[in-house]
Amino acid sequence: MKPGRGMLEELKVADQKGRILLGSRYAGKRFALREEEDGTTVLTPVVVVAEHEGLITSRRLAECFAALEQLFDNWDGNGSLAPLPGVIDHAREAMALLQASAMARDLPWSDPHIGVNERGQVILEWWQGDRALTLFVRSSNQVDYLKAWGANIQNEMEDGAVSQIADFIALSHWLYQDAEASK
Amino acid sequence: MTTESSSNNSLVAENETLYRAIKNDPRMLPIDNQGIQRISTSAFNDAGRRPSVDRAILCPAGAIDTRNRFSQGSGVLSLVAADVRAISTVHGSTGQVYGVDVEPVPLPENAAHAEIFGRPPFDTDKVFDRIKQSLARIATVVLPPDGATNRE
Repeated sequence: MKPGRGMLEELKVADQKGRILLGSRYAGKRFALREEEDGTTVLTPVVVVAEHEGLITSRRLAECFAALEQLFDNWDGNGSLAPLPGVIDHAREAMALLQASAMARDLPWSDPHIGVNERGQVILEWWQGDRALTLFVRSSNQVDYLKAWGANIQNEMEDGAVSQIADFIALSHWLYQDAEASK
Repeated sequence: MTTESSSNNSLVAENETLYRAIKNDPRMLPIDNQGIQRISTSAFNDAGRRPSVDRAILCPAGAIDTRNRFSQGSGVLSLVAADVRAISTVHGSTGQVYGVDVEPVPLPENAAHAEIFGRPPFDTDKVFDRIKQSLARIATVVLPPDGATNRE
């Protein structure tokens, strides 16, 4: 193995069957193996995405949000505002970041339902059984969440801010808790 | 639809059915990743935080009346007044208790018109977000928008 510049070097020895023990934090990870002309071998961690899950590309993301750019004020007949271009841009960036974060941690990911509320804020909605997770992209610096597992507003809902990737990861674990437990 | 009589301004009875029109727009009734049709909270968007509904008791042709009044190809959701009134919440930081109610607001062109509102009025996004989430959960689809079953 050849460490990159500035990286800590650690010598690993392959056993008689060519196996290398990397430690539990690499468990389940996939690596691309490349042999160099000088005889060294490079292992690169990679994220493998099933084809049906799609890839994060600017084109695909643009397609997901394109319909929002066509909305006008009162688009729903109930006086809702059209989303501002800046809010759409931020929602697009946020979704790319969330998807990449989920995939990097081998968490389930499904594209959210993309909607708009009466104030022109972009909403991202996921459902899993009785659980619903809604993210509200209210502005370039405010994303809130609402977790719901029933119709009771006091006892079956929780809201808060999503200010770090870790916040979304925790929400994703909650949403897919049953699916993860059955793995 | 019911044949029970009611004046336009009478209190909305607990057992009354309410119709909520939704635009013929894929954002209203999305299909989730398991193929289940869901009601988006967008279906209860309202700029004044007082979502409009029609009282079924004053709709002679039932949900079709609500569809025809709203827009071509639109869908109609159904709720029961008692379920709407069962919604209540407490504001997280102020401790304010919000009750949810529905009252007749007859219009010249629509005697069946009523509005879902808060006591006191829903004054924050977060409170109204919860109300809409609850409304989306207790509502059922009685008339899907045209083409809704083929979407997504």
